[in-house]
Amino acid sequence: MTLPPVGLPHYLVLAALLFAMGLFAVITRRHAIGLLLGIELMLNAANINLVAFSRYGGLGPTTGLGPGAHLDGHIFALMVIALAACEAAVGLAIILRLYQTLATTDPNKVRAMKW
Amino acid sequence: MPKPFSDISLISPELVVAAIAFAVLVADLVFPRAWRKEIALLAGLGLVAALLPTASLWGRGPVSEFSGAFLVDNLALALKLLFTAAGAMTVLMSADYFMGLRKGFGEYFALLCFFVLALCFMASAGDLIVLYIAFELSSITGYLLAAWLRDDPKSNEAGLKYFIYGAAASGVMLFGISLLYGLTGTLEIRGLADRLAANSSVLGGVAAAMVLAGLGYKIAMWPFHWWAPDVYEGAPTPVTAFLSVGPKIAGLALIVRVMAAIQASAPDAWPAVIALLAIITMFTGNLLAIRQANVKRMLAYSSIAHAGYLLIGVVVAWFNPTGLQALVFYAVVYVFMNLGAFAVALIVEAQSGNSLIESFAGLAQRAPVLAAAMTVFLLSLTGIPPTGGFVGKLLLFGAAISVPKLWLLALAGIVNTAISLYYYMNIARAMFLMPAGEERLERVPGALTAALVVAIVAVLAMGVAPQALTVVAEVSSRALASL
Repeated sequence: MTLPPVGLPHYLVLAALLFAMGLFAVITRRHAIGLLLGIELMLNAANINLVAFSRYGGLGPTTGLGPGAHLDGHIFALMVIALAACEAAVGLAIILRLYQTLATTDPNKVRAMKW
Repeated sequence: MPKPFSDISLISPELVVAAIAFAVLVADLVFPRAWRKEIALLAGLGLVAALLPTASLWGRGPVSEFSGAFLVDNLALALKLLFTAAGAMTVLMSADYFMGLRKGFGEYFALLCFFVLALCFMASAGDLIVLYIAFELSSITGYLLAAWLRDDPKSNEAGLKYFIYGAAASGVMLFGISLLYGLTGTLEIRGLADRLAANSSVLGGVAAAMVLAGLGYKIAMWPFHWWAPDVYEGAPTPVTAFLSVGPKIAGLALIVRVMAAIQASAPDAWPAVIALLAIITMFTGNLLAIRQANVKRMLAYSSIAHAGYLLIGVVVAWFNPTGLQALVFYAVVYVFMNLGAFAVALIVEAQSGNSLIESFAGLAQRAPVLAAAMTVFLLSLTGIPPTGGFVGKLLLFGAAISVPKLWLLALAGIVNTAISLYYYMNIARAMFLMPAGEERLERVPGALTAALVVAIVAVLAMGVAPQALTVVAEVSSRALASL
């Protein structure tokens, strides 16, 4: 038995699943680091989309995106990787400060301000 | 092979702001602690100097540069002038506030300059890569500035909340962008409209909604406004002042540009959706502002409400160019009146140690000029003549009435103006009718006074003689349409 070749739909489904998991983690996690990981998942899901579209061409009939003809998606994904690193660095710094002043990393417990 | 760019002078404003940011960073490393005042001065004068290249580009364009990644038109230029001026005023407000900081004084001003840089790029974004990078740069600098008081738990909390909401929103927006790329095969904002219209699908609508979620977070639009009150209350007051004007206006500019393109995914539905969001945002902000006891928090809700007013302009702009004109006018007025109100709050906070409304009690006796200034800002925020806020609201609501069926937006706006009168006047009541405490107001630092004078002159001038600004706003709105 041979499996069908891996194509665009596979990547899109994977990306959608990753994105959903990331969003779920951001909403439910009780630890700030877990939240950070969820955010990374969301960004990387978008990266998979970008690279897959770039490699296999777009979804619509009028896109004119030939296979491998387009580099925009690849470049964008590289930019996103760099930005994700910056964001993680800043996020970790903020979480570290928070831990030093309030001795907690649970965002739900950080609520000096309400309404 | 097309040339990568033909005219480097088109990004001279950004180059100058970036140079200032790095210069401040280096100056902070090289010079001793005693030179703090000079470092702040460098940042302030640098931002003022950055107004010149922007102003000299006025009227150039609309052109797109760097293979369409960077747009220069009068709308972008007007906004860049606004952001740079707001940055310079924030420097004036920050210099004395942060003077006692143990470390991170110079970095603060460098980051503020990078923030202004990000906003300038947002105003000029021509493709989705530039849009996303500028969006992230403004977010990341914003997280850091909100958490800048290292040892203050409230400031840390503000940083964390801003970060979590912001990172999640930008993740959602990026996923939307990746879907738009797949659907259209282009990252250029201009190219999106035709291709989305050519193959409209549910997915296109979903992607557009995801992009709107990210931009809505930036301007604190309902239902993405929950971060605003906590972040505004916890962040250092000068940072709050800048967060309430800079990213909001830049985000609106992006909504104008991007939604004009991606509304093609469902051209009948999007105006109605944005109109509905505008109405809910106005009511949310104004109704929740009523019960606030903290002025910073109250101004946070007020800024949510103002995002709603400004969204009226976005909706009207699709049908009638006067919508964009009114939007630009109101954005300019909003920046100056909000910065002014925060400057007064800053002075009162420095005096009393908190920003509760009761700290404003008897300000009219303790400091009559300051109380009069605050009254002008509050009148302007409400929209009462002879202030710029009145003319701005008049233009916005007038533009809405000129389009059939959009008079409902104007009606909602007027109702909200009436609601807002109540809580703005709550502060005026404290200042004029409540008894003063014993203490007299200390001398207000010169830099802060300068910021206050600029704000009040601007707000009154735009109210008494709005013609100049209406012309500028009209020219800016025309530039976008012709591109």
